[in-house]
Amino acid sequence: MRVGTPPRASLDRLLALRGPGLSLGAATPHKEWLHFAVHAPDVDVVVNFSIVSSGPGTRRGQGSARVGRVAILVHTDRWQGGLERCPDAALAVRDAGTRLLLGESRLELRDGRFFLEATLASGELSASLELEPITRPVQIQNFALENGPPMSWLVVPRLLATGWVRHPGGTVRVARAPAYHDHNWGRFEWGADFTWEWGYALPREPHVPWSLVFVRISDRARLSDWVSGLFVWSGETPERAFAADELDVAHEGLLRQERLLKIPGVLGLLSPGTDTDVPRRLVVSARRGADHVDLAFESRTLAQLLVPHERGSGLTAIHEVAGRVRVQGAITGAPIDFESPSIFEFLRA
Amino acid sequence: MPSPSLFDQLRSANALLAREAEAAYRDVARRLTGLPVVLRIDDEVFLVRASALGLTVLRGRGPARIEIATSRQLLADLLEGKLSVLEAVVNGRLFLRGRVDDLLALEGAVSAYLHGAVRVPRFEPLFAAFLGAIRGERLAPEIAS
Repeated sequence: MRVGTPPRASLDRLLALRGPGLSLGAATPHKEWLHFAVHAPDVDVVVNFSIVSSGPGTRRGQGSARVGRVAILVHTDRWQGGLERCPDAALAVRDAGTRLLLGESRLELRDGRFFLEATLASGELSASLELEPITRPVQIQNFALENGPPMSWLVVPRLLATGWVRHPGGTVRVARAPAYHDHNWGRFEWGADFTWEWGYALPREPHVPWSLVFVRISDRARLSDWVSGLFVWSGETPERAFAADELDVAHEGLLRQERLLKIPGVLGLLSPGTDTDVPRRLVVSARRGADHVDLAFESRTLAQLLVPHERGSGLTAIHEVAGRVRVQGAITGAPIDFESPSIFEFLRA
Repeated sequence: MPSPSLFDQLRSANALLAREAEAAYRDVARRLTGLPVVLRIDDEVFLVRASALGLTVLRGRGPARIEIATSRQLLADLLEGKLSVLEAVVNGRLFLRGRVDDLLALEGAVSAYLHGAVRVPRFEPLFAAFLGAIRGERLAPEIAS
């Protein structure tokens, strides 16, 4: 594993799509996705762009059979959302991976900023956002899921989002709202022996310097963790990375709700019911010398994205959970104490 | 523009499943063998029969062990996840008639069908076209008014 913090001058190149690379003979499709979450005063929004590339490919995926997808989730007093599929013919990756066109949706990188346009064919949900990173990225390269080929993960925990979001309840203007971004790529199969859970804490108040990201990737039974960490930024700078042996993670209770949005709906027919094992509360305690951080996420409501396993008939459930996160602690003597809305993700295979 | 008939859409979907998810298709046929099903979807009526050779869809009624009556709107609502099958039955939007064992076998067949279909990328445009046509029908009265 390597954790790096490249200079801002190379931000566009760093944040750009990677593509499957030279992959002659690779049996497992290359998967890559870019995830954004925005917390405006009256609405939380998740937009996820993804590409699956099968077969041999070149550096940017030309020559591969590709399928793109755009997922949009909007959380107001309830979750609304959908998933749009984009065939290869309507998918384009241009300008060294800094422009992604997926049907009617697009994502562009210019001068270190994201310009995002996302829409569902139903017309019910759409978003147009400019996202400006205000923290430097951290990249974790080449970690393996289930002894498989390596995966990589890049996270920008704190951005400012400006634009608008449209949902059936109206159009919401977004002005420098806190936002989160991560980017994942590699080769793995849905349904392999892994689960994950991750989330972030980013304050609404601009003067609060702290941003945090928690991640844990485990086996299906969650008896062994393959990757875990709590990353802390101060201002734009990565300040501390707590490693697995410095963390204590606990689940408390189970989140229950009467109705559960399942996306895509057709997969909901194969996974009826509303029970999940998403905890009502996730508590992460990190300690290293005098540095300590206690992060508690209170789950409020969730939506479920379902993905068919690539072997067998199972389904992977990805839970997007809206709630509030409380962070307390101290790093090099500087106190941390804030609370904010967040969306944590819990994947169960 | 009139929506394509469900009869044609179902036959196209069955052919696609047989071609691209053969194991699932054979599983569905096995589960439905000896269980002919009559479907009445709005004003369309057709009969689905299964054998070791596969699925056959015929226009009109015929001897059946299971009867299903519903609407295209309800099918769209199910595919969009707006309600569950149980809610549709309880709300009177989905009518099922048959022996309990036969209905359970039907549930297994439908589940096997969907498990196959969701793993065939070319089903996604079929679902999208069906839902798009239904959305158009939903919007038409609003536009007219």
